[in-house]
Amino acid sequence: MRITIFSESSADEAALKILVEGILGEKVEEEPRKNKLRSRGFASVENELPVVIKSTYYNTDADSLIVVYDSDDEPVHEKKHYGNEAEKCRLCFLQRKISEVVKSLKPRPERNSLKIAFGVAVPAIEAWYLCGTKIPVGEESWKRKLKGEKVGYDRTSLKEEIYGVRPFRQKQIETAIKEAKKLAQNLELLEEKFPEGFSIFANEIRSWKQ
Amino acid sequence: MIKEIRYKNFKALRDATLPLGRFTLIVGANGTGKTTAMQVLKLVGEIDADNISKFLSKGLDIETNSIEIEIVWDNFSLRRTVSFETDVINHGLDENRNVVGGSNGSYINSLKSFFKHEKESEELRSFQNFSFDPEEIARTVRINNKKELDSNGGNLAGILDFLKDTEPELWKELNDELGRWLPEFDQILFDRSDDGKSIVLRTRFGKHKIKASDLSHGTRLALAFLAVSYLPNPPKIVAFEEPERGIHPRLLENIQEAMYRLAYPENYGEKREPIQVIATTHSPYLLDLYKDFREEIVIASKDENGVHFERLSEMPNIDEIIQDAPLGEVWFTGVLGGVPAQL
Repeated sequence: MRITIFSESSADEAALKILVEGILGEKVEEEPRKNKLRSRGFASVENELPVVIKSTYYNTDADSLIVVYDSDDEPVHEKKHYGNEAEKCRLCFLQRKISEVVKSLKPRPERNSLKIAFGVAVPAIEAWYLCGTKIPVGEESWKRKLKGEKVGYDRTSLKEEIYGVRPFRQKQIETAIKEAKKLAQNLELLEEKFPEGFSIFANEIRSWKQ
Repeated sequence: MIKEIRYKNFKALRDATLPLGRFTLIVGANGTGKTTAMQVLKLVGEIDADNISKFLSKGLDIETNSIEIEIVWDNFSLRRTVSFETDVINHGLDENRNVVGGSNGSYINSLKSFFKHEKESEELRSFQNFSFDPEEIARTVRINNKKELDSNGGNLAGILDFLKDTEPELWKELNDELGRWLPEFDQILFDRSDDGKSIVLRTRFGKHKIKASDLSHGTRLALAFLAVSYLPNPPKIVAFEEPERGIHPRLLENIQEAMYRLAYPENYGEKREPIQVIATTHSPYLLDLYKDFREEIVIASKDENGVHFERLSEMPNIDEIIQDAPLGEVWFTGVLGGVPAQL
């Protein structure tokens, strides 16, 4: 399978490839191989996402597109949002935007439809890496944090826990790869702790095999 | 007006064609041949019988034995190929990478033939590749008759003083424009001493005189751009390397306008011939300004086969893909190419 990954950093990209392979249970090939796609952050998503979807669909042979953003301090997605988009919920936004763009794509007889899986890491992808450690990461705990409760971690501490303070880029990439490899061996816990931002993303990817 | 330049075996430009218009903005990662592409124009313009080996020694890749540059003009029915067969295998290179044996006769004949086309050869000879240096812009200029701005911005005081003396209307317009770009200033003045002359800017309020050496780097760079765009006889072809360097993003629309003034003088009420302008950039902010002029943008990319140039407007499905998205953001994502490679 040829996949295109669109996320916020080179470390995230490296980890996502491994997670996708873990979910699928097979190796994937990245497209483009060298000049990888990169987001400037969620503030640019409105402009970036349509361009990335269309470009991947019209101008590449990629079978699928992986889109993952951090939720940062925005609301955590909940089941009650379905059919009733919540303001500032990034997952709701991605769902609507991707749906709109996909509907606008013109048929390309020479290629299959583009499969898209999108996830939102709550509050950041480093929380996924810390799943199963003594730090109580998860969507439920972050919801409590957003309500003002102390939960033992915040966005900064997550990154410091994983990478240390001001890590150099290569160390970030290597750490992300190492953590993603560990996670790929135990996806069940990750899905349990992150039922909206990760589990739905993983289920979408699994459906591609059927 | 040069329509395109074809390169073979010139440094990273192993087999590339650069499409050009009146104005062209080349966008790409570092090391994608943008500077090299401009270097070729300068070298070809400078070549004569005495310095052909300079061209060869600068451009020759040790792996190759020929360099070919073809410059195609849009109204030039005969495509002239300026081609240099170096025959290194037979003659070799000396320690300075010059061709040994003085067997350059055939190349010189080719050049002589090319330079019979006076208009085109004059265009090439006048080519200036500007890459401004704030220190040079501020430097005191000895009194002389030099009427050209150096490629690093040197002699700015000289050409501005000349403009003041010979083109009073243009001089007034330039000062008015300076006030629009940098509202804290209202007049360019000169400080004269035994060492020569240097630029002074007068503040709008208080009429203080600020020496060029005390101006911010950004102000000096903006002044140099402004000056080029008001030259009465600018070079026929000019290039600007990364014009965004040292300039606040909000001032970039002024830089864009300065370059457009050169390329499209009729839009600014000027009667001189258009100047062909080529700029290179890494700035998403500058790129954003060309949203409605996609045909002016060329993306430089590099892969295993070398550098490639592609006009943005000719990329497949580009209108459908970009629609109204800001070009800078689109470029940053990487969907257009022209971004750094990653392992």
